[in-house]
Amino acid sequence: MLAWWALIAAAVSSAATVDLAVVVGRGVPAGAVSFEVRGQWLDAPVAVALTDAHGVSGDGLWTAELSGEPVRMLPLTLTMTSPQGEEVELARSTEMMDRDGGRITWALDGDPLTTIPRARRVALARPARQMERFEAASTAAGVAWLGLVFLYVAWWATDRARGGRSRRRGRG
Amino acid sequence: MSDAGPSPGWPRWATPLSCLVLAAVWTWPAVLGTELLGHHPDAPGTAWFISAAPRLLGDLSDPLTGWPVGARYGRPDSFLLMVVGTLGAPLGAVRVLGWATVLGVAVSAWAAESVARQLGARAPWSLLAGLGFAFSGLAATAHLEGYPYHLMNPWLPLFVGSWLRATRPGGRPRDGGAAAVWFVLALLDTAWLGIACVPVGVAFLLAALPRRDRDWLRPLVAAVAVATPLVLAYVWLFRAGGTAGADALADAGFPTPDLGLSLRRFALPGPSIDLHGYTQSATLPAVVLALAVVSHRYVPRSVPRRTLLGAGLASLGLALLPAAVPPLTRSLAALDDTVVSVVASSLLRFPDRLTWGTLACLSVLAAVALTGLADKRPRVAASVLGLALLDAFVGPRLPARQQRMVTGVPSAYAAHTGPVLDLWPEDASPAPAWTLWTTNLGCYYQAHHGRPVADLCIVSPGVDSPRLTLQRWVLDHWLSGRVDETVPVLQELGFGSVAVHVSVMSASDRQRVDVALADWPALVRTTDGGEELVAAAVPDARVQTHAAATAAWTRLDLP
Repeated sequence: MLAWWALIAAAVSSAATVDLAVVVGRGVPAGAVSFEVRGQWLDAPVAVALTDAHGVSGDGLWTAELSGEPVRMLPLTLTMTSPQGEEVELARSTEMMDRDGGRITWALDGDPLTTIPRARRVALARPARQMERFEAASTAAGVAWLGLVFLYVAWWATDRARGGRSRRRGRG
Repeated sequence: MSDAGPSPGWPRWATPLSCLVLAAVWTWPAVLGTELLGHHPDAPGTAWFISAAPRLLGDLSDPLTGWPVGARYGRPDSFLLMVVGTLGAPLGAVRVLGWATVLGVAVSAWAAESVARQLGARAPWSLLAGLGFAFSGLAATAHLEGYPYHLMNPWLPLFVGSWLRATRPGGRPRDGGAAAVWFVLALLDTAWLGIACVPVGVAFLLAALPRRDRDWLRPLVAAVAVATPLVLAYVWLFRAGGTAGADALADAGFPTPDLGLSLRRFALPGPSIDLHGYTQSATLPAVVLALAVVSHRYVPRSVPRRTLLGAGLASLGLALLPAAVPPLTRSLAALDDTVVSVVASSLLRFPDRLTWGTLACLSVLAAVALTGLADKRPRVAASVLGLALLDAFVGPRLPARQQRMVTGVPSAYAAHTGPVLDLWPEDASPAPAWTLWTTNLGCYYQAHHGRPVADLCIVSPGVDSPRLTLQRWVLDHWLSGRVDETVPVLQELGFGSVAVHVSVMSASDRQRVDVALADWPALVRTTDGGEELVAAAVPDARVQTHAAATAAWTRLDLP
């Protein structure tokens, strides 16, 4: 019964949750560097450290979560503390939010252990270079879909399915 | 050409109902009428436009925006949406926006379906025409970016049906007249849809010219007689309403058309498409393309298959032309002629929208072909219709891809009276659409609080609103500690209060704003409506007439 009430309360709740993620890379051990997201949620400054603790540990995906009242725009800054203890700002932007929150993912270009990487917003939790392949794969999937549909329609159109010959070539 | 009627067991009412149900699911949750949907700043801008429609319908002027000078919007996005907004005013802007979206998709699909039936398609196979046209990639883009008037598009398929009848043997003048009416309605809906009619209309006419009969001549005369006065009036209004196309190009950063990108937009949208707020995609439905290619196997000889195919491909070719021959379009965009240059510059920016004509012609043809397939293999035809549903829902990833904006408005606006000056930081986001976001959100808020604002709510290329000019000047003074110099100016301009959008300001600027406003009366700070807003009455605010405020604006001549 309690679980039902919790479910109903969650459904009618007007809170927004923002999932934050940085694709760091598998070779970066937890503790060598640290990442933090700072921002302003309505009238309250917020700061949250990203950790590799959620999901599969060591998968290179560092995550955190922010939540609160629905927010229209969210100014965010992603910072990194390097192995030398130096804090570096990697990205800063104002994100337009869905009423229920959303997901904001950055991918790093460069190894944070040896360089100051560049952070890029990405749509999926994948390294930036892989994202380019995902984009190309999406176009390829579209072309493949068109090809499959065409073959399916053309198959029936040419009467090949019955084992007969195309009408265009004659009915013999 | 006559209505083929439905297949046995398929009642007539089932077709419009299917269109409505599919549209409600595809655009979910627009049918609720309570959510402001969209990825793009134009959604709140459209909500303002709907709310302002009763004011604009007279002479396109709005005393409640562009304060203190007022605003005259000579090139509204859609004349038709003004009528819809005026008729739906009692329902509220967000509800009208949501319901116009659902009904727009449903009616557009039904119109395309009915044209397919005129050409011999039978329900339910004729539904493919509606799916291919009204649930296409272009329609998904319009829905995601907040342009319901692009979705209220029964005019283009109806134009295709009437003009096809007019240019075929036995064409009647009333078919030509009807085509002209649909063309003008498309133009009034949005200039884009009117432009999309042109290549289709020319292609149909060119197909008729070689015929020995001159049956097309009288319908052509009727069409010209009906359309000419209305089109001339539209062009006159358009010329008077704004600048030439070069400004629009400059505003868009002189986009370079790219053939590869143009072609990619016709494929499925990639995972990153919504990352930066723009969702440009014009995915062509695979089932429609495939059936159009094999249509010669299934379409009866009485159907002008080649004409439809040719018109569809001509529209597609024209959509690729700016990318294929950029110098030609660029030189047209640089012309002094306002209409030609604006059309050319618009084509450079959004060439995909010409493919509305492609979708209309090929979807209708595909539906007739599917009916032919169904006559031989109904189960295969049903599976192909199922694939078309995948094209419509899985391809553009709708309704999952849609976003819901916060619908509420900060209550701080209600604390004061008189014109309000919204102040946003200019550097809060590197995104080029940041100014558009702030403008359209300010206008969306205006639709609720009803007080005059300094924003120009229909953005004209190369024109700064009084809000942007004042915002730069006021914030520059406040952040450098010269707040007292701004008070007499705001008094003279008749502003009753300022509304500072502090939640997107840097921490140091927030503190400076707090210091600047510390002594202002009736200071209110709210955190509802999705942002923190600080509003304060201008000290000793004066109630100024519009004329006096305009005169003060001219005299002050702020940098």
